[in-house]
Amino acid sequence: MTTIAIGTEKGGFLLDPDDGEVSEPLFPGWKVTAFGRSGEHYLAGVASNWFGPGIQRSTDLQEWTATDAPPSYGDDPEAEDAREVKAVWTFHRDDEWLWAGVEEAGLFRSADDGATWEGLDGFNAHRTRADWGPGLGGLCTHRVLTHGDRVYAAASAVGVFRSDDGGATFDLVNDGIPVAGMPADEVDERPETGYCVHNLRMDPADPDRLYRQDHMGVFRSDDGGHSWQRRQDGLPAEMGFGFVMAREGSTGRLFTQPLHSDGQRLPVDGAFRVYRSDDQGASWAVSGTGWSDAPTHTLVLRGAVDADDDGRVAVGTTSGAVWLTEDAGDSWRQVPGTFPRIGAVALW
Amino acid sequence: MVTVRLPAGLDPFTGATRELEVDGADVAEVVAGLERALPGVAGHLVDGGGRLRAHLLCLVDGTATRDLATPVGDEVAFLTAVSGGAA
Repeated sequence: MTTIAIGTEKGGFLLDPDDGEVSEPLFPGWKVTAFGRSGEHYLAGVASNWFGPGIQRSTDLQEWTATDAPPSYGDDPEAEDAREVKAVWTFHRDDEWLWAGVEEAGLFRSADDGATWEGLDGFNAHRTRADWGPGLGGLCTHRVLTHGDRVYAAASAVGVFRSDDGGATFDLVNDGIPVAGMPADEVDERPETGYCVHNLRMDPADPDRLYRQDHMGVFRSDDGGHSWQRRQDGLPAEMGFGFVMAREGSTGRLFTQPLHSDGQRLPVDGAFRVYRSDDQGASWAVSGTGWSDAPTHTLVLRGAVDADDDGRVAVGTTSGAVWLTEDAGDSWRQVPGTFPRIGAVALW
Repeated sequence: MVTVRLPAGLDPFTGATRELEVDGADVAEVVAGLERALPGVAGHLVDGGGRLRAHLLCLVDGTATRDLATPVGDEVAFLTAVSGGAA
């Protein structure tokens, strides 16, 4: 049985897509900003306008317990560059570490399934840190990917970082990405930061192959991020704008949800569709069947998508709907239920 | 001992403890006492800059304060401010 974990502005929900059964709200009143798994633990990153961020863990999806030492900068409050962890935006588990990307943009890792965390100075105190600026969603590290000592971290609106020494040091890798809001021929000197990456995926068999949904389009890299090429043929969006990038493991198919433009951020002509690429981004088309013909002016945020290695891809929308494919995008269905604005989705 | 009242919104981080007694001569010491009793809770009351979180109220024997150095008496209550503007 698959459970779809749904993180919303007002709590979390666990949905059985087969019978439509939905749990009582988890952490009611708290935003659920990220889901993860580590060891025997399920993880939920939560945040509150009143109480700040936190992490909850469960081993059975029934009983949840707060960790008492979530990621923290531990800064001197009087320091000029004092900053605060406002929310966990992503968890990533590899063979050795549980990683977390947070707002304000930072990178942390845990050796005990999230009970305690250490910050990575090579990222958090990066030499360009003073130049980092937020996107409309905040200044956040929203994707962490690893393969051995290779670490990628995506931060908005900063760019993609790469480490080849397990996270000790990081370089920015954004060559080929346009500067947001600037025509390429008007940029005399490319800045090091200011690249509004929206999502990042890696081919687990080839850590040099990356897929990137960016503010300025959809891109692929075949050299570990050192160079990027635009790969958005077939997407209706102006500039290829959108927030989602997912990769289903058994087929390698890619998924995104194109939006009309940076200015509108709505599906083109009110047609809510997930698009799919079967050829590693070379071309894109509407993913399968099942979509509603009724006007559907909604979108999928960057954390509200998950894919497994068994054909399942789930997306949650800002209007509280959950769409699911179980055949790697050949057919889709809307799962019963309407939720608050969805910011995180996980297939468990 | 000081009686401390906590808001219902903190239930996921307090095990639904709404009232307890801790030692402390001022609000900061009360928060430290709460942290000993309910590990992790202090960070939800006080931000990383050491200030009462922006949308919380602290009442010391019924009088509002944002100064963590305020001496306490019999009761300290933390309340969620009526912060509108978001659905």
